[in-house]
Amino acid sequence: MTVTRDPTSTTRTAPPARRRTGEPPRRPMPAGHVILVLTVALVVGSLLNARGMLKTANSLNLDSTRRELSLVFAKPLYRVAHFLHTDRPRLWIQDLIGRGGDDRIASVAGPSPTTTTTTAPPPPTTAGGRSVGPPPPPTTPPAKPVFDVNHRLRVYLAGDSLAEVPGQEYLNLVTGVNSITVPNGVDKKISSGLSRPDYFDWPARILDQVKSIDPNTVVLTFGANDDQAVQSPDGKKHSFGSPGWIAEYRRRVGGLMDAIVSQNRTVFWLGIPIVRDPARWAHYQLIDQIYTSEAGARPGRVFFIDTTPIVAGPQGEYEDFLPDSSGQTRRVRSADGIHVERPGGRLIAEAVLAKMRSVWDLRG
Amino acid sequence: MLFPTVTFAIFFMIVLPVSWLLMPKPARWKLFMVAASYYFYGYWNWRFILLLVVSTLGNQVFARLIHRSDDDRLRRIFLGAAVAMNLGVLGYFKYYDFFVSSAQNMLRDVGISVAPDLVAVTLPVGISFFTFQALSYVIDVYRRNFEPVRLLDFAVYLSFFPHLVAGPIVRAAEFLPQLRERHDPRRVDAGRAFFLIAGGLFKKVVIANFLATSIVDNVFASPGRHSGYETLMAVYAYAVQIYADFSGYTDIAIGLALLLGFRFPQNFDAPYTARSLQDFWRRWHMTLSRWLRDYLYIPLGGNRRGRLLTYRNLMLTMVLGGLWHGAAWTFVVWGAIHGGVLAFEHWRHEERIARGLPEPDDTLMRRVADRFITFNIVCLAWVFFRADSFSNAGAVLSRVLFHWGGGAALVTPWVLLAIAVGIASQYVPTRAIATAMSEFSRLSPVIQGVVLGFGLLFINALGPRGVAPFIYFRF
Repeated sequence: MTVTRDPTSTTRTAPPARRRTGEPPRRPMPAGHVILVLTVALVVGSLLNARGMLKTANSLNLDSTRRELSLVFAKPLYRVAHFLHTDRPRLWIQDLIGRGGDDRIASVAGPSPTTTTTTAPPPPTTAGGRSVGPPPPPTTPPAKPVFDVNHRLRVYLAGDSLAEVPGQEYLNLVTGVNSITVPNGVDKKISSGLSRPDYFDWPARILDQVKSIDPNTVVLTFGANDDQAVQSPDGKKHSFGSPGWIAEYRRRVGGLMDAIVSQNRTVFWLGIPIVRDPARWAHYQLIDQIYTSEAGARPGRVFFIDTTPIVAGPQGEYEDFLPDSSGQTRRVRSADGIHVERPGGRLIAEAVLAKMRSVWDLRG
Repeated sequence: MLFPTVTFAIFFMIVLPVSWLLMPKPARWKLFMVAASYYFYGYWNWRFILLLVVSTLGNQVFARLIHRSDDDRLRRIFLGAAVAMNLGVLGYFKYYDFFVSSAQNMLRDVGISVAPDLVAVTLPVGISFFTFQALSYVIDVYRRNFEPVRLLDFAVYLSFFPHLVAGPIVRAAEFLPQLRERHDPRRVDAGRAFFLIAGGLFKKVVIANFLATSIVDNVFASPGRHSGYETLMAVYAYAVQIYADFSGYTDIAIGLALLLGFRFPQNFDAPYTARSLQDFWRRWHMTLSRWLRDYLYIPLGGNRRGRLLTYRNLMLTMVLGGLWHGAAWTFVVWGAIHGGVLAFEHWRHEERIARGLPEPDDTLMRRVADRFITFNIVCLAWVFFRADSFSNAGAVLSRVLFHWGGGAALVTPWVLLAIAVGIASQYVPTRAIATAMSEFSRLSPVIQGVVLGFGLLFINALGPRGVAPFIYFRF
């Protein structure tokens, strides 16, 4: 048999630093110096990015050993960097590009609920001087508040990564609906939630946006990253699922709801859809229960939308593929078994719009 | 494990010194490198290590069977079995749900209702890349370009972590000889390596991620909300994003390999300066282009069987190249656009020769026009590459063509600057970059480290928090 070449038969010396003719020669470096360069680069880089590293370490799961270990390095590193002023250039750069608060580690309690019972009557909700809220308990069906092309329903969409695709599909869905406007698109922040305001302070963000956008209604989606320990305002840590965790998370959810509805706005709160991993789904069901009960405590002002029936199979089981409205089989869930693909997002967006139509008369 | 993470930095800072320490003892070095690479790969999902092991063992068995056989018929059978095994594994993980759901929907359209088992197969990271590398090894053994190597050598080749998950697609003939070289630890091409790694990180973390989050994702998600100008800028931004993302990754991979003493082939060469689609494919994902040329286009007959068959071969190669990228009909259209334009260019060239017409004058205007047209054809194809459906692609194109009114809030000066930098950087003369690398390599190690440390500051401070996965990880 003829073999033209054995790929391992050649023996050559070290890779040449100069490969192309005419290229200015590069000075080769001993491997030990390579390790020295990398070590210096990492030390200098760490001192210059100490603020960001501390934020990253701090953002890890409160219960995790990884966080404890990371903070063992990040805290003294930050102190040294701060002492040497090497943390300043990062601040200057971030200020220059308008992201000066990126590395801030917030220590906030967030708003607490003002609603304490489930029987509180819904206050009148108005926007722009016009009634937009759902009706009081009726004896005869009253007319729904009207929105049209001249007086549009202003919507603010926000949330964690779960909000992204349904939010975008909602935008696509209402592009042709003249009675709805979504001034700022989808306000999303991946890896965020209500459990870690020190990483991203959602209540502050939402209330700030609500002030500037002046929406009639706020559509919120949270929870994908919230099955982790929380810290209550008294500084105590509570592991996920513990009574302390439930009380604190409930306080945050209820507080956010009340902070929005107290400004005469409504909230549509989307639950977490069933996920592939049963253990994780058990966590999310606990979170969904809190959303459900807190929304139930604010009838007519907060509407909980259970997304599981929308993207689950006939028996409520997890499904990756479902038929769309035209009967075509589509992949509705992402590879991670948590998020939704566009067809799934579309189904959720349609459910949100349908719920809005049940509350308001959306014309055009 | 993603390159731009602290986890990877720690991993590499352990692997690098151990690798150089073990280099004088090749057997130990190979075992260590396979273990390190498997750890790197298994960091995503340890189960996929089994897939890598099966691919390594399976391809090695077939390579040996092909090599040992003198019977051409038997050799062809073994080759066919190896190709079937590789494409079967790739097909299952990458295309099973796509083809089954497509068939189900087509049958439903003609009134036949079936309920096949759709299993939502999880795509192992990098499967397309290591499958193509394994195929190149088996096919080259079949072609008698070289003999099979020892199992451990092949395992190092297939799993070597710098190229494992997103290329470049390194041929066996390029990598395996380097395993026998005496790597001189006193002569590491570190100047080039550091330059490539820092540049790659900047391209990925700053340029690509910024453009994705600032304009591209929003416009492609809801094109109906954006003006034609904003949408066109989003398409251009995507062209820069995907270049920065993918070439950034391969730059880092090439740089890491250099630090370990290995040379990888170049994968990008200023693709948006191309003056034709043929030129573009000599500059974009060059290792894939070469693979498709040598293992698909030429075996199909290349351009040796007449015009029509050449056009067919070009179209087939590019459509299959499109499908390699992903299981969606939009990728097929992306390939068809490239194949169609390549065929047209080929036809035009042949016509010119047949009519005895001279090549047009190479004027500045002509160069500018060629580049502008080529870039825009590439961008047209990118729309289908980025869109998640035909309706999405149609909506984007419709906005660009027919809806020029309205604002352009997403087209900020920073976005325009990032697009401009992404395109203009490709016109920087190679000589200037080489000179910069040369000058950098002459600095003392401590100064180099300090410069790189400041590089990390800019990359980390300008990049968004968190690391978005590389686009080509999903291919």
